[in-house]
Amino acid sequence: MRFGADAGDRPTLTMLLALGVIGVIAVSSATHTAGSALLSHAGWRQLVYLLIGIAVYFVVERIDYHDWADSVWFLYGAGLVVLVALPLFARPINGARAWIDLGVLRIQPSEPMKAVVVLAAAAFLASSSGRLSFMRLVSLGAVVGVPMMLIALQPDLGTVLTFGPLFLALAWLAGIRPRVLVALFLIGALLAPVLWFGVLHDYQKERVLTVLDPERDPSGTGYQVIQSRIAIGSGGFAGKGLFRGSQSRLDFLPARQTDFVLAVIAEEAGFVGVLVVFGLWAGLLFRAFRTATVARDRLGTFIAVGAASLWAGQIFINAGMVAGILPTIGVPLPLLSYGGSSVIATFLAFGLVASVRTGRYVNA
Amino acid sequence: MRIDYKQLRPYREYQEARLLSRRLLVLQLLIAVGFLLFAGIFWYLQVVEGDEYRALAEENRLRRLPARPGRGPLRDIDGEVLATNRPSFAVYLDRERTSDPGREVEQLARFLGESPDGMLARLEAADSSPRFVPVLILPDVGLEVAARIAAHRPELPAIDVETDPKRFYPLGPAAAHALGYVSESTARQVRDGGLLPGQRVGQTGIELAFDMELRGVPEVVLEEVNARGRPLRRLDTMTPVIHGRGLTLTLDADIQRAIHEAFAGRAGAAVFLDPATGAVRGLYSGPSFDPNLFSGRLSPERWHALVDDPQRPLQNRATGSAYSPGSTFKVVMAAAALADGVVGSGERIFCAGSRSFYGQRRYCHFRGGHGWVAIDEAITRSCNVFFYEVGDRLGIERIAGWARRFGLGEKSGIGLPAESGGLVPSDEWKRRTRGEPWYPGETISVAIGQGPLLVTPLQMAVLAAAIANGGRRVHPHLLPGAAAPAEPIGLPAEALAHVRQGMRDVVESDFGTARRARVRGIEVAGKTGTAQVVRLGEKNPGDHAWFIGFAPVENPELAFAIIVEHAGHGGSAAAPIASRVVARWLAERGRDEAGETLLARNDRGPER
Repeated sequence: MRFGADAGDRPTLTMLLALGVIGVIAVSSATHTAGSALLSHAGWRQLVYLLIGIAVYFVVERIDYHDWADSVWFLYGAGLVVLVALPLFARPINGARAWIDLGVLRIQPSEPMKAVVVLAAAAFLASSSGRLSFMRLVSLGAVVGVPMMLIALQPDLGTVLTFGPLFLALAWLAGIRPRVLVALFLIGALLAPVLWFGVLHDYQKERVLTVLDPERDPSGTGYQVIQSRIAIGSGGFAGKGLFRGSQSRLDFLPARQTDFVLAVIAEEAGFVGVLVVFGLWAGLLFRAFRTATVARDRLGTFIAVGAASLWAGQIFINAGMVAGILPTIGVPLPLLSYGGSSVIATFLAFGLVASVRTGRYVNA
Repeated sequence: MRIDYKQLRPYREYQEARLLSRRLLVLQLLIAVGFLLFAGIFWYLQVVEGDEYRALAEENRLRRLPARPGRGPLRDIDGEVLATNRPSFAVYLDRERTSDPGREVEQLARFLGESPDGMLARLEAADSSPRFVPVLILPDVGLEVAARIAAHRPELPAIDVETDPKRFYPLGPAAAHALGYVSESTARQVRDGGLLPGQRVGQTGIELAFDMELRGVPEVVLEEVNARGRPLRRLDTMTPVIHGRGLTLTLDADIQRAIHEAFAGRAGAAVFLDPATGAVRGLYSGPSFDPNLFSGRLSPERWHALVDDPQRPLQNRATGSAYSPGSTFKVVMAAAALADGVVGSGERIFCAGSRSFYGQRRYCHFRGGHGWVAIDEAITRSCNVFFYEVGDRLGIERIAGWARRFGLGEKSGIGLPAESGGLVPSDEWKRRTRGEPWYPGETISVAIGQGPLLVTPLQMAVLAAAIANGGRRVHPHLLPGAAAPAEPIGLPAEALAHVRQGMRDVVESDFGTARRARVRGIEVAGKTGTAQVVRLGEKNPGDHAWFIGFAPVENPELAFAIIVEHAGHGGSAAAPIASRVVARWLAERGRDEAGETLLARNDRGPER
């Protein structure tokens, strides 16, 4: 443990807190019922998750990230065991065996696993330099790909997809040859039909088609997309005001406090609110890149870039889904969507990044 | 292979740091582009297309909740109600206010002393509809049931009683064709015609003719609903309800009742007009039906029974059926002959019982012959030979001209649906439809109201009114003052006087053909007719009996036309109907006017 004299990465913490508070309010508004208090039941829970997240952040930030890296393979292995066990033992919720149900709260292990995979991939890439060899590329693929496959078994396609940007960004940073990258994309394009005809369920295909034409099934798959767009669009520039979004308050928008919370913000706080959210997240991500640039070593750089790219992936997939330009796959908007696992995982990851930043002057 | 991470080498080589920072820059650029792209997408959705989506959100949120307007009542000329809205109640069960709807229904059935089976079946049928939509468990119950439910209010927390007025016609079948009937709006009318589900719409008769006035304008209340359509609160009233306008008609309920009783289920029609104005006092078609049947839900069996009835009770014969006028047409012939001067007012023509025209022997109905007859007597005795001769002298074009001046051959414009115009034949008509010229021999048939000539009972009543009112053609109408004034058709007073005298004697003289049309206390004028019914390949079902006329002879107040299908001679079948209706009207009239008129008539009447 290290207790540095500096106060840690204050801008990162400030932006995390700002987003967390906006999230508590947005979740409250989305689950608000007439006559209830300012914070709804879900709002209170989200506030508690936020406080837990802050505690986690402080603990993680104050531990040298090298110490985390020392125990990363233990954490990674434990994570894999849990992910293997989930499809075998967990009770399905909404058709997916993705949660450990502890009664008062449900834990979604794939969320903290995101931070663990970031750490593991960074640790794996830290020791070498120069061009990325083919064997190391395959190994990196395995480090990221094994949890991906286990999560795909739950099935939780959304979480699986968010690991893609992590892999690509780290491979790029580790020096993947451009022609290998091109080859990867080509293979991906060739695999698309296999995915379409072999892996995707009918309802998932339907969601993909819905993006192309929401009106093909306006009361079914298209409903979510249409109602989400109406919520966003009707917010206009300045929004309808807090707790005044008719789309969200009158139950038109399903999953509004979770995956579609951005639509609630867009409806009630307008384009201004969306810009604030995007601005804070962009600030956090660029701050992480700044940390990557000033990091003491490759491990720090790869941790910061890994976290930034995985979270950027979540944000963009979620925003694309809410705006109706990507299929509706369950990806939360970190810190804003209701759910403790995601909030805590985010503080975990950005705590690690802060640790990289505060540890940049420390000489071992 | 275990790595000691604490021993990792810090960046020292310029080359490596440069490669990393270049690649870091590319990643940051990608993220920046991502955020800009999404900011652009949200800008487009929220600012560029914002108004459109705002409208869609309002459409989502708001539901127009219409309230039905009351349909305007119909009254007769004296204010008696002809059509109104009968209070009726519908019982609903709100499943959200009870944990066990079935038990509540059984409780309700116990209070009402009825079997719960029907109500339970309706409850079950509503299983697929959202729970917050109340279930109609008892349609159309009376005040008594509604009151009993109200008394048990505390024990029936989920039961609601709502008013659902039904159209009610106190006269029932006595005025069915004139008034028409209503039925609930169809899905198509709701979609295209701005009507509300369950709103009553005129289907025929006055109900259809004046539907727009009677309908009213629904109230529209804006209501906020959630995604499942559950109403949350009322916002504001967009348009206040405007109940349908009540209409006072020219009809006389007493006359309608009298005609209905006099017809006693026979097929035919009767029209009674105010000869001065053309106001319709009575309009009847038999056999009739009860228009109240259509107010509730008409079962398919009853509907088919009405539609498939060979007597066609739904057909309005008074305005929609065209018949051969038979001898009643002699009124037109006589007026035309005198007006055009083809027969002198004192001129006598010899009737030997038959006479030859264009190589064909034509018979009088009195084979013994009427001998020498003048025009009044020819009307009174309905001498065919006299009018054969008149017809021959006039020719078809002049006959057709006078017939049209009396209003035959074209729709009267009364405004009721499916009016027939009848047919007045002419040379031009025959060339157009049959492709051959008119033969003078055919004129001889038309002269006694046979041949292709077709008239409606309403047209014949207009004709009778013209004789009664001094030679003016009236425009029959159902709303007081709603028609153009009567216009003179150019009959000389002397011609008119002879026709009237002849028609008076039809009833009042001992030689008349309609002595059974006499009414105690006043003089009646009329003309009988027998319309031949020829059906190919079928046994003759019997001729139609006509009687047209007016009463009283001096200062006529009623002009009428009556036809009874397959009833034989006009004098025996149709004339008594006129007599009964006029007598009844007279009696009611006397009562209404505090006995004044009746007393005055009694003073000069012979029977005191």
